[in-house]
Amino acid sequence: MSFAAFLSLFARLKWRQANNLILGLRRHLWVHFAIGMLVLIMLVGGGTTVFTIIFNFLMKQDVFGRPLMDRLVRMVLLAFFSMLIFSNLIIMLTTTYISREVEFLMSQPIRHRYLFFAKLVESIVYSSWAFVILSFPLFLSMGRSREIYEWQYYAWVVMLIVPFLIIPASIGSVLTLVITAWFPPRRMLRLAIVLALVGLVGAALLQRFYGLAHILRYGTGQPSELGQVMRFLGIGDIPILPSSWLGRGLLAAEAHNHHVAALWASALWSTAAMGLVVCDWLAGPLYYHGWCNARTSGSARRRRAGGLYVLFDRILFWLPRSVRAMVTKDLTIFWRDPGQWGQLMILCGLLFIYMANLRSASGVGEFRKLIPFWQSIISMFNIGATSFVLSILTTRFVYPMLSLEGRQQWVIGLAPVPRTRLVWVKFIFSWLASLAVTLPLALLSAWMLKAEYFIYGLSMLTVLAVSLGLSALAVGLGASMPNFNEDNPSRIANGVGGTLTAILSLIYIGTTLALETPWVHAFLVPQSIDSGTMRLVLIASIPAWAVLQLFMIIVPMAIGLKRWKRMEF
Amino acid sequence: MLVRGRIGFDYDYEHEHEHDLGTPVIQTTKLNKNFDGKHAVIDLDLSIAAGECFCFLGPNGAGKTTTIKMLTGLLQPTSGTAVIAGFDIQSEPTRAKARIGYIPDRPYLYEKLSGRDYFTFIGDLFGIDRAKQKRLLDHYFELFRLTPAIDQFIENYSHGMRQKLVFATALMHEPSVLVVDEPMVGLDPQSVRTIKKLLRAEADSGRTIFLSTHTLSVAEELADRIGVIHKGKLLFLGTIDELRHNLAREGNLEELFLLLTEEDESNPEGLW
Repeated sequence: MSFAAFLSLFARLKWRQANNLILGLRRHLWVHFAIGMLVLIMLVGGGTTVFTIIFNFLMKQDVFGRPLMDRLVRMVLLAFFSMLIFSNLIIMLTTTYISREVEFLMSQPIRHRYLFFAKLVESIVYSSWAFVILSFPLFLSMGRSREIYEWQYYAWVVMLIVPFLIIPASIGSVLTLVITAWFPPRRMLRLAIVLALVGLVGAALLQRFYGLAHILRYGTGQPSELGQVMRFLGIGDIPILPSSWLGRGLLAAEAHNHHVAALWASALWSTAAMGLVVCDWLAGPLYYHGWCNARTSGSARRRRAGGLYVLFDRILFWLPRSVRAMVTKDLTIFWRDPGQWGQLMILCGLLFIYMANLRSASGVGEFRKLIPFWQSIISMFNIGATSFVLSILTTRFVYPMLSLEGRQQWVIGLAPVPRTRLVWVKFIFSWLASLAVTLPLALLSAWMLKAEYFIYGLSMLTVLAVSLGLSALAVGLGASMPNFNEDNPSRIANGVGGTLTAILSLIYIGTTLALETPWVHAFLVPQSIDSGTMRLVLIASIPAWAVLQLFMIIVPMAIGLKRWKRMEF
Repeated sequence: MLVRGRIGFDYDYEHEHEHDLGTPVIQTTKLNKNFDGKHAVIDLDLSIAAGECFCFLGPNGAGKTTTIKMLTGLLQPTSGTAVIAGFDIQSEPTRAKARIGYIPDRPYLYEKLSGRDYFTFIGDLFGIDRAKQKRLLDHYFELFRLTPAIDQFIENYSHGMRQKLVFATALMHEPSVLVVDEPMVGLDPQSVRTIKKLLRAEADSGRTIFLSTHTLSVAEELADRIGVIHKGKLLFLGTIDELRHNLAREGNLEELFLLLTEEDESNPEGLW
C-alpha cells in the first residue's frame, strides 16, 4: 500500500470514528451544539475584544505604540510556538507510543514510517485546533486595529500559519523519536511535564524581574523605561525562530510588501518540509525500536511493598474503613498517573505566576490609599481569581472522577456499601482538597494586598461557600453525565459534561461576586448606604447570596445522587 | 449440612452466612430486562440451591451477561425479582452484595494499583480485618502463582493474571454465591485446572456457583445442573442427563447444546 493510500484510509477511519461519535450523541445533539457554539463565541468574541482593546490602545501611542505592538505579537507567537512544541511532544508520546490503537495498527501490514507519519498528521490536527481558535482573535483584531480589510492579508495569514504549525510538530516528533529510542516513553512523559513546569516557573521569574509591572509602577514616559519594555518584548524576536519569521511575514503582508512576505513564507515552508524529511529519515530506524521500548519498560519493575497506598492508608486512619479505602485508592491512582499530577503541577505554576504578580500589585503600593472604586475592583478581582482557580480544579480533576470509575464500576458496585456512598465520598474529598488549596491562597493573596479584615473575612467566606458549590456542581454533573468510555481525565474534562461544568462554574462565580460587590462597596464607602437604592440592593443581596449557595449545593447533588442510584453499568 | 462463613464487617450487618444444602440461594422470579424495547431476558425463573454448581449456557447475545448483571445488582430488572441468599438485590442491595463474589468476563481493574494494593482495597471495602487480609493474600497469591507479580501495577498483568487476581479477591470475603462469567478465557492450562478444582471444591463445601460459559467441556465436567438461554428465554433447566432424555439423543453436551439452540431457531413460537 502506498503512503497516500494509507493516509487516505487512516483519514477515512478517523472521519468515520468522529461521525459515529456525533451520531452517538444524537439524543442531546442540540445541547452539545449549543454548548460548543457558546464556548466558541466566548473564546473568539472575548479574545477579539481583549486584543482589540489592547491593540487600539497601543496604536494610539504615537512614538512607541506600533513597534511595541509588533514585539508584543512576536512575543505571543513565541509563546504559541513553545506551547505547540510541548503539546506535540505530549500528543506524539501518548498517541504514537502508548496508545492501544497503535498496538492494533502495528499488527497490520503497514510500514512503520507510514504509521508514524499518519500519527504526525493526527498530532498536528490535535495540537493545532486550539492554536487556530486562540490565534484567530489575535490576527483579526490586529488587522482591524491597523484598518486592513484586503483579502490578500488574510490569505497571507493562512499561507504563513500552515507551515508554522508543521514545524513544531516535526520538532516534537524528532524529539520523541530520538529520546524514546533510549528512554522509556512513560518516563519521558514525566520528564516533559517537569520541563514544562520548570519553563513556566522560569517564565514567571523572568516576568517578575523584567516584567511590565515594573514599568507600570513608575510610569511609561521615560525613555530608559521604554527601552526596558522594548528589550523585554524583544525576547520574542529571536531571528532564528519560526515565530519571528511568522511575525515578520505578517508585518510585510500588512505593508503590502508581498515579496518580503513571500520570502518569510518560503522560509517557513522550506523549514517545515525539512522537518518532515528529517522525521522520515529517523522514523524508519527509530520508531519501531522506541515503540518496542515502550512495551518492555516502564512500571513493570517490582515495586516496594505497599508504598504510596500504605502511606495514604496510614494518613487517613481516622476515616471509616470503606471510605478510607475509596479515598486511598483515588489518591494513590492520582499520584501514580503523571497525566493527572502533571496538570496539577502546571496549575501550581500558574498560581505561582499569579502570586508573583500580586506581589507587584501590592508594591504599586498602599492598597489602602487607592480610591475605593479601585480597592473594590482589586478585592473582587482577587476573590474572583481564587474562585476561578478553584473552578479549574473542580472541572479538571473533580468532574472526571466518577467517569473514571467507569469500567471498574463493578468493583465498588459489588461491594456491600450503598451505591451513593461513592458520590458522597467524592464530594467531601473534593471539597476538602479544594479548600486545602484555595483557602491558603485566599489568605495569602489578601495578606499580600494588605487588605482590611473585612476583605479577609469575605475571601474566607467566599472560598468556603464556592468550594462547596463548585464541588457539588462538578460531582453532581459528573454523576449525571458520566463518560464511561474514556479513561483519559483530560478528554473527559474537555467533553460536553466537562465544558458544561466549566461554563456553569463561571456563571456561578460571576453571580456570587456580583452579589458580594454591594457588600464590599458598602464597607469601603459607608456613606453609600444612605442611598435608598443602595440599601435595598445591599439587603436583597444577602438572602439572594445564601439562596444561590444552597441551590448550588443541593440541586446538583440531588440530581447526581438520583441519577447515579439508577445508573446501569 | 450447615455451611458457615464468617466475615469481619465493620457495618451494621455483621453476622454469619448459614445455608442448608438444598435451600435456594439464588432465586429469580419472572425476571425481565428490556433495552430500548428489545427483550434481553424474558420471564426468567431460576432456583439454585446452596452447594450447587449451576452452569448457564447460551450463544452470544443470549442474555447470560444481562442475567448476571441483574443478579449482582449492576443492572436493574425491567420487572421481576432476584433474591440472593434471602435478600432482594434491589431492595436490600448491600446485604445481598455482601454474599456475592463476582468474576466478570472482562475484568477492568485499577491499572495504577499493584496486586497487593487492589487486594487490600477490596478487603477494606468488605470490612475484612488486616490480619485476615494478610493471611488470605499469602494464600491466594500462592495458589494462583501471582506472588512474583504482587507489587507490580495491574497495567502490567496479562489477562490471565487479572482473572486470577479477581478470583482471589472474589473469594476473600467467603461469599455464599460465586457468580463467574466466562472463567477460563485467557487462562493457561495449569490455571484452568486450578480454577476447575477450586470451583468444584467450593461447591462441595456448600458455596453456590453460578457459572456462565461457552466452554461446554467445563460445564460438562463441573455442572450439577445447567440452564440454556437463547434470545432471552430459558430453553432448558435441569441436569445433562435430563437434557439427553428430553432431546432423546445421546452424545456430549456440545452436540446437545447445538441441537437445542438450532431447534429453537426452527421453533420460533417457543414450543420448547
